[in-house]
Amino acid sequence: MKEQKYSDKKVIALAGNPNVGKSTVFNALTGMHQHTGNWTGKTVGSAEGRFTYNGKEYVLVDLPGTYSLCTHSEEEENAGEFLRSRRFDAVIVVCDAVCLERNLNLVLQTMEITGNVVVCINLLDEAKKKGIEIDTEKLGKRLGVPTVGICARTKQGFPELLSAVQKMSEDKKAPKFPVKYRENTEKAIEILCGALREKPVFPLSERYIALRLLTEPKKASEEFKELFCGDKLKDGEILSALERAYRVCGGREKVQDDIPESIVKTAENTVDGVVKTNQSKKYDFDRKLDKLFTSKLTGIPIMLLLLLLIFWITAVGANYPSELLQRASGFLTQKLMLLLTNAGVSVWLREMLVNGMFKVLCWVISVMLPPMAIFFPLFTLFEDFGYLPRVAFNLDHSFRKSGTCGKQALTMCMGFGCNAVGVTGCRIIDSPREKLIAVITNCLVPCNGRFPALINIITVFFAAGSFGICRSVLTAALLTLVIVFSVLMTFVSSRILSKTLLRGVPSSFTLEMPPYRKPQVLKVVVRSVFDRTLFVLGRAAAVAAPAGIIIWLAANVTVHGESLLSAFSGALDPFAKLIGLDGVILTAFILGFPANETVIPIMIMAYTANGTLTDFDSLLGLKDILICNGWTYTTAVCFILFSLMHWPCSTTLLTIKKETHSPFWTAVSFIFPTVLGFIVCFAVNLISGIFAL
Amino acid sequence: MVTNTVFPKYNGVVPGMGKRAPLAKNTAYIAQREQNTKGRKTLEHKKSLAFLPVGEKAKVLSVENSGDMKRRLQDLGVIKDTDISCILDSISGDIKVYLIRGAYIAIRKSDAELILLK
Repeated sequence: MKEQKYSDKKVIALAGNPNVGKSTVFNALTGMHQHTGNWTGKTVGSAEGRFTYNGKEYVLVDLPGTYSLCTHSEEEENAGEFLRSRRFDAVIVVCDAVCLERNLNLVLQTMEITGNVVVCINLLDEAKKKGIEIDTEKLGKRLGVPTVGICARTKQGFPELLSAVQKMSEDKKAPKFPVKYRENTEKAIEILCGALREKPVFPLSERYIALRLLTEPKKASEEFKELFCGDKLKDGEILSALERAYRVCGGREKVQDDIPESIVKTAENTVDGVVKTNQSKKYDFDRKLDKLFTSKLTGIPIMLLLLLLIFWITAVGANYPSELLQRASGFLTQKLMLLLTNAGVSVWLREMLVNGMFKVLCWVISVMLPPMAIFFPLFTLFEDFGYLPRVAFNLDHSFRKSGTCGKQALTMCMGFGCNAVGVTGCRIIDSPREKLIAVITNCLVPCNGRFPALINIITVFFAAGSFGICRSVLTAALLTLVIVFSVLMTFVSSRILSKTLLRGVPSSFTLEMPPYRKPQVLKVVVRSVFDRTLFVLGRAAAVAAPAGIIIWLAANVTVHGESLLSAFSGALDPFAKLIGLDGVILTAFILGFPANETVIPIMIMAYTANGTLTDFDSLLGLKDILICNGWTYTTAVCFILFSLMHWPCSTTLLTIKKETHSPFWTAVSFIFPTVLGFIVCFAVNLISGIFAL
Repeated sequence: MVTNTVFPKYNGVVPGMGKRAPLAKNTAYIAQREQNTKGRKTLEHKKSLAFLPVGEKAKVLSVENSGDMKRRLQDLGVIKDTDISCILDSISGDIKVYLIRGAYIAIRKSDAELILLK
């Protein structure tokens, strides 16, 4: 976590359980656009933003969701660490009105760290639908801190929230301790406090440090060493006080059980009389949907159908815009060439810029942008709806058999959009072993950069016979099949990894099922399309354009009468033929390392010997080029398989390095999918050779 | 509350867990206690969460899970006397959704077996 010094601005932290709407509040206040999604673990890492109120500027830090401040996953550790460091002026603890009792757990724990707490009860509209009424004033009086009810979606209640925040952030308040523990535990706390009192003043109150030492002595000693100078825990006095404390309260386990239990009981008592439930309002629709999505009969078929639907919409919807963009780029290419010729630019420079860089740029944009701009919004709508945790629920059994947990389904889904995002999302997995497995296997799922290539090859080779709607449905169905295959490979790889490199037992796993929420369709679609367009354009400029120049150079710079490109691909050819590809395809994959979307343009440029992207206005043209260069059905299948199972792209690899902090595991995530791809393609090639397909 | 559901016989190994996860210390304690009453093996009739049918409600007697899972359950509000009901079963039967203090939480069967009910 970066340490930022905001000497003149007040820092406000946003804490709360997962999926209560912290990011929604954050977006509403700062005007930024954190991605929100209806499942626990959407926000990983923390985000910072600013807002102004009554002329004062505030910094808002959106922490990831935690159920408690006792460390479990990396995310909870980060949030806990931030709060304990007291690098803020006030905390807004966002609570879910529907399960207020459990949310108060975190509120009570936060109140033991600092007195500058504002309790913010969100999702009042959902609670109302369920017949739940909350007396926020009464709750505020009981807790002793300002309590505001809001509805983050409609920004209702924000003025009260902001004024409470302003009041609370004015000066540092001492923490209140609303939780009374059992007698023995209180005695233990007394003993520790006595020992701590002799030491100089800490930023955290002694009672809190005592509690922390009692629950997690090892972690607490690490933290306190960092926060304060000197090892207060190596100090024999505190250690012996800790031993005495444990003896007094009947053993370490009893204390470590009592502390969370007392918090839960206090939350229960606090909520009694404050929350009124109108039992007559039974909102069953959610449960009916759940049954539909997870039952034996309809669960998996619905998953497959939805996948099919998303792909079909993407494939069909992307056709027309792609064609338009291709025509536009053809037009622009001519104009550019003319311009450069008239400007007197030399031939080779002209060729390089137009036929090399510009054409690749246009190709990537016209082929990548429409599918991405359709797939991402669709996927986001599903996220917001709340369907993803049900997928994780359905697949948990299979993941468990492969040695991991259902949360990998969520990271896999994130990987569909972008493998790098999927890797970052692996933070939601508590167990480090399972997290690593999820990281390594994430790139087995094709990202948006690979979809267009897959769609093209499938359409050209396997759906070419049919026309119109038949063709699009067939393409979508085959793509779904490919995805199902990659999911199966994820299971297999996870199993292999958990039996070899990453041995261990399946860890503790719970998953919260959020309520279904109607996504704000228009808002999501507009924002998503806009975001994706910018992203694709940016990537194209940063990666595709230079790639185009390099390919052109490699294809046109000749050494001993042979271009660099053909020399290189020639050298790779024998090996590539073994695995059902050819030297050019393998070269294209290698050169496509920076970004997967450049694989097909590179391949085409290499095939058309002069290193330019000749215009083919129909996919049949693509088929011609490929068949002229020796492609068979086997080659197409091996291309698809290798596209699924090869090394991760550069962005993903960097992200893996950042997440795992380990060159070894980064190397494994490079080698593992590659070797897998080689083996599978080799096997397919062998089998088809035997049957002379 | 004594019911007629017999807690499955075990020899110190909780069914479904096999050699995998480490046994909670307290389950061994329960087995011992059961065997020690006057030399007779009285199987105290106890229900565990794993055997709670869909649509039924119960109160938690004790949480016998160990370590991380116990903390996680406590964070979610599962302690003695908590009301808990089974809402949804999965395709494999290996994991179910329970209603705990207003939230719907999916818990695996192997973990639910260690949550004892009244």
